[in-house]
Amino acid sequence: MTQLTRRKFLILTGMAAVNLALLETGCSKQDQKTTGPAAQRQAPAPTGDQAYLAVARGGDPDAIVKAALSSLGGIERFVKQGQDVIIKPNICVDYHPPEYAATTHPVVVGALVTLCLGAGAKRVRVMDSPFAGISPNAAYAASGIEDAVKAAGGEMEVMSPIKFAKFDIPLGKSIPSWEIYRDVLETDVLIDVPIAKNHSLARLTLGSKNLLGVVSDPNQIHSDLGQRVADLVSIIRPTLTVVDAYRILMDHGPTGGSLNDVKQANTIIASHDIIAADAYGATLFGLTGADIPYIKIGAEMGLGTLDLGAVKVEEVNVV
Amino acid sequence: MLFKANRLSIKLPVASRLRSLWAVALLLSLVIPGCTTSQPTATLAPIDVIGIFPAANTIPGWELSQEGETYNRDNLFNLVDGQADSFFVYGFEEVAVQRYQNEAGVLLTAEIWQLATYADAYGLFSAAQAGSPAAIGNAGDSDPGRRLAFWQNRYFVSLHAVEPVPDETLHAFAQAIAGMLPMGGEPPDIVGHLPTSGLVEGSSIFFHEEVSIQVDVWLGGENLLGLSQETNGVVGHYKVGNATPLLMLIEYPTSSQAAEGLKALQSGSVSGLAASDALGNRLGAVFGEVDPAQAQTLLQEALK
Repeated sequence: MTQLTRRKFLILTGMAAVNLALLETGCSKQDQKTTGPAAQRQAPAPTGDQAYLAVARGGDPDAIVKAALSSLGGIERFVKQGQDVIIKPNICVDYHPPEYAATTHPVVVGALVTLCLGAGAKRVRVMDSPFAGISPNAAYAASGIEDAVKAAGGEMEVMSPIKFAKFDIPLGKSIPSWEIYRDVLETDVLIDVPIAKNHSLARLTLGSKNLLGVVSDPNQIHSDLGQRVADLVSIIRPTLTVVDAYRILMDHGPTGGSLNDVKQANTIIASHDIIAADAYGATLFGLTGADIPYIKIGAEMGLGTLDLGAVKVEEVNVV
Repeated sequence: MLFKANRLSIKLPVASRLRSLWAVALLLSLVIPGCTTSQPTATLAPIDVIGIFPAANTIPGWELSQEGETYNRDNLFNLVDGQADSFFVYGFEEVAVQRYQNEAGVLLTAEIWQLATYADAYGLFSAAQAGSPAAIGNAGDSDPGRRLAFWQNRYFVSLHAVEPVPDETLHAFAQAIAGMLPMGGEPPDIVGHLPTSGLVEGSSIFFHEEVSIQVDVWLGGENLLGLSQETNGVVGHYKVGNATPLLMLIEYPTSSQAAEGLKALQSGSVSGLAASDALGNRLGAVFGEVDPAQAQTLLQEALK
């Protein structure tokens, strides 16, 4: 029998304690399967006069964000006093500044941070997993989102690899489980803020596709893309989807690179229903939700509605 | 020369000598690579792509901001995320990336994409076109001061700056890279079948598979037309009166495959089809709101 020295015993005990602590805080990247707590997160349906889907148009991105939220009943419908909020914009690369419409408009993100803190959120974090470029921090800076978030009182977070954990996807038809950023599933409020843009493979990136930034190994999601994106939506369940269509990328997405591909659409689309928001977003490209596989499948799975004619859509022009 | 001809010791009559010369020419055409296909083949000798990049300060004031990186089919996703398939369909083999930085901290990224053939390099270039023509390599595309791309041999090169830089800087980098790459390469033959009258400059895209053209024409995403790396296609936008139709041509390995493609296209599942036909191993189609007679004229001009 191997004799443990006192020193070795203390080291082993200490390691065990640290590991246990990491497990309990969710920081250990051990292979674990749990039912995602996001199954409990409900996107609040409209009541009274509140719009199901809001579309605000105007030249000021800050103003149209606020107008869209006002049509939905205000940010207070989605964010309560003391809640933890994560905002997930699209910050995919550090190649281009915001006017190239590859990343979410910083003013849109800043406006949402301001609104959330104004509603009494205890913390507002903003994060994404850029896939190219020097580093997440470089992408955060190049997009202008870092400055806007800090100015509004929010926090930028670099997504740590050890915070990804494997979750069951009960409604998943192509993927029964996947590694997802734990904080995104556990936060009280998740606000999905895609920039509406062309995608060379998926046709469009909108709210549903934007959620690939919070999963591990997104490369594998691009096989059977439509179903897998819908499967992820079924577990991640944003509280609110705000589609940034102030400037939209019409071609050569998702990274773009030419201002010739950018169209000034001056539009913000917002809804608790990610499928409806995506369906409306598709119309800006001359398409319908049914033309985009992940939107169509998401509707078929009951994750939202494609039928914009059957819900209250409020359109606001902000002068 | 691939081989040394044996000297004939017997003097043949003139007619016989001419027949012999034709026979030799025919024999040579069969053994020299590329002569039997419609596509010129690329110089396939591997090169050290990373070594092509200009060294620090070759362009004055520009240092290397980090070590160069290469990506292959196994890890391309780390560079381009979900776009990887868009490069695989062009015979992607490898890409090298080098970043530079000037004293002001402006970053400039250079990418050299190695594809399987000249046609693939041309195809990737044509699919990425978004700016104005630029005189670099075999053909270039420019967003002045921000982006410059070109193709040469079986390489596609892309340069982009996060903040505006003098356009001369981008051209200096491009020239330095072009000078180190093998020369040569021609657009694939099928591109030459696009009628020139009414063709919108810069709108043509060479493709193998439909993912490359799905912004221009949506074929359903289920490979209705049976496209593959063995098919060569081209689309181009046209101005026909007040209409702006899209012409598509696809060259299949066999005429029966073209006929199957035509049948599938005419099945009614593709919207916006104005005219379609097949001739030999080529399928043609016109899409968009255009006078049917004008669509047919355009189509037949392309197929002849």
